[in-house]
Amino acid sequence: MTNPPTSHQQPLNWLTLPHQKRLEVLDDLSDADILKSYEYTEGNDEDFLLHLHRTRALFTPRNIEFVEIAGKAPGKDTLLGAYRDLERSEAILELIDNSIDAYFRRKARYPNACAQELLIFIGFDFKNGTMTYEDNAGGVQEDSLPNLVIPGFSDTDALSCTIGSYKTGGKKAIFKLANEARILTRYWNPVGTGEEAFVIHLDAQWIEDQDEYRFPVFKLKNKSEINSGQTIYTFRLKEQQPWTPDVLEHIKDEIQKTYTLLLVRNPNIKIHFMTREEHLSCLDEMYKFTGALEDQLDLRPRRVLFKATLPFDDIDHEITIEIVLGCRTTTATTRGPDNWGIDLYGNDRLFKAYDQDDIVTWYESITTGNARLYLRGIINIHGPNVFIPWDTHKRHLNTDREIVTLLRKDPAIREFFGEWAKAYNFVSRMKPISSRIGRPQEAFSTVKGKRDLHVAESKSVTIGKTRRKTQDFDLPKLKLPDTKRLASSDNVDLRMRVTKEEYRDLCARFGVGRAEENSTSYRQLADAIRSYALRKK
Amino acid sequence: MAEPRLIFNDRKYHALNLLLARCAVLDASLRRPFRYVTMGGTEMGDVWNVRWCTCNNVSSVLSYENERERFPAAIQRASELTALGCPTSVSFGDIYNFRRSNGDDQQYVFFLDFCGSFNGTHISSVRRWFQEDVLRPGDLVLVTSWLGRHPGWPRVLAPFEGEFLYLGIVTSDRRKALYYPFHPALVMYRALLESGQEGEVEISCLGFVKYSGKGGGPMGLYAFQLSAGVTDLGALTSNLGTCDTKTLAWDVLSMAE
Repeated sequence: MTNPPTSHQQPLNWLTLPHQKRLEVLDDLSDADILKSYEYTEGNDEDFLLHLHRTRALFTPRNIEFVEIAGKAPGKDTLLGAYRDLERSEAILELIDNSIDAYFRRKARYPNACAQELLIFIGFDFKNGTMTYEDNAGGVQEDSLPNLVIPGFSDTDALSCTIGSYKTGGKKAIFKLANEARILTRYWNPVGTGEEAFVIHLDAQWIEDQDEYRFPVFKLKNKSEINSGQTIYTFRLKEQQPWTPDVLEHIKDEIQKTYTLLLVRNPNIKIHFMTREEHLSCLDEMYKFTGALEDQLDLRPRRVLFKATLPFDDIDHEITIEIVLGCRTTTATTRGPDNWGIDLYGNDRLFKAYDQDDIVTWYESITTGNARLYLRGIINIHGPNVFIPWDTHKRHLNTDREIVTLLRKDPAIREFFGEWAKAYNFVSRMKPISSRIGRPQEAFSTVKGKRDLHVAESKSVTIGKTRRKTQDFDLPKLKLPDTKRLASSDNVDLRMRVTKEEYRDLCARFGVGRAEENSTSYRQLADAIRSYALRKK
Repeated sequence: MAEPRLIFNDRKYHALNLLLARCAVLDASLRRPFRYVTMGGTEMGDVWNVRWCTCNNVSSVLSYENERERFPAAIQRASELTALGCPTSVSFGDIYNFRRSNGDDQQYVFFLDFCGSFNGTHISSVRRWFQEDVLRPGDLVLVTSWLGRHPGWPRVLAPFEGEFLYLGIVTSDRRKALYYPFHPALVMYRALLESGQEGEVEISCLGFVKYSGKGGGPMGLYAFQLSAGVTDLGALTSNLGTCDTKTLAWDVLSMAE
């Protein structure tokens, strides 16, 4: 029971009260009594009331029962400073990565005690300055709660085939996004009943204190606030970071781009952004390969699964490098998601899109010039997290990793890229061919009940030291016509003059971005009109 | 080949007068002398209306004409207006080519009188106007927009995905229902945001008048007031006074519920 200060005592400063003391006061006293008894140094009575209202809404003092102060000493890995150069979109991706890892882990361990669908929800309440992140990946047990908060602690290990940033991801997200946070979780016990719901409170003092890792854990009195198997993060957002429509749009784009392939291959995972009514769709436009297939021409995309082993702690571990290569329908750049380059994935999670700088330099056969603008594909490394060559924030390719050496040097991989480089050069040189590749194929298709990237052919090749020296590379072959049979260059240049207003109208009609007045936009519009006019009925 | 003379029906000027009357109550800029930049065509009927409604506060007029066939007629009309005491000049080209000269701190009223849709393709041009200080606090911007057939909802709505998300408008039905009254406001907001001036310039939408354009197609006329301040998307897209000259209905609309 809390006794308010008596009338002859100076009112206490509310903001200097420890968090737990504040919760006790909120539980015991009404707002009016608190106003009489405590001083609020950051505003007037109205501000104080608003602060009390928000604190009650976030920490629900009347629905919790104190358990303990938890938290162990931090591990050797430290993330001090690591979250500062994280973008807000990347922070949200870290939370999604963790949810997906937790879901797959649970599914593998308890297939009959796992949600049919992984549902992730991300929402914002700008009026109250909060963000909510929810998943139903299974919840977190009481003794694993530090893994949510303390850097250096994790449910996974370096050899797990996961996508989350090992030991740091979710924690970076909290530090990046929140002034204060509440984490509510209710573990779905696969073997019995008696599930408790726990609440972790991370107030502003805790978040700002670089040395404090211990955190209060409460039991939720009214468990109906959360479903079994759910975890709910509520963040009071940092005020120094304004949230504008373009930021939200960027976050949505990043989520869709990062998880398109994973969502296609796992349709039971659904991510909801700003609405519970619809989940985010996959971006077909990311993979706009030509479906050119004629008597003497086959430029449809191909996939090869390169099987290898890599050592870790003196033990060899299996990995699969999935490479899909195809030909774009145009050399136009900056057409939204339809751009040239190689996408880099780790366990189906995109970490670098449209690489145009690193990978193209590894294979001399992919020359400079217009031909490379036809290049489109993915390199997707399946295997232990420790082998995936992403950096701390899963934003860049770490070229110092052993797997990159394998990608650069292995003769089978080089031959596969070489085969496609020939095709790109051919298409670029032969105008009659480049006019026949304009029709895109569907990006994804369903084969034997499984949805995936639509490829004409898929093969498996063993590489590295496990490959027998006499083994030939059985790689997919493309089909290109005999050049002597093709007519020599017989291009015709068509010109059209329009007013600026007509230009804007045409851009709107053909879906060409913002009608910028530059040669890139003009070329995009010309390509779009040409494709439209030449389209067969 | 463009029509040699561009003549609009009375309905357009009826709509213009309704909007100017509303602006005169809500915005002080029309009660002071201002320069008027427009796409007046060959008849410059809007100039007449603006002069009358603002008690001749138009200090000068600059009209843009981008059709060669109409340019001589526009020049002729400009001379007539000048002779009647309204200094008017015509420039060949796109209205977005307009730039203030050095030291020009005058208040402006702009009439972006397009026949087409004032959609996402205008964002970059308006952004440049903000960036190059053509649009300033104290100015008024009138905009027409075609409300008829368009190249498909996905293309039309795509430039404003962020704005819809921010306002919590997530279903496509609701987005379509709100698009016609609010799309010019979204263009102005996005252009301002991209210029980085959303903390310095406040945009308010003073009204939306729907009317039947040339050939009977639906058109919208919108007015935007610029003042010093901060633009909040929620405020810009709430309490919009709208009226329909065909049905004589009027309403107050907001994007966010």
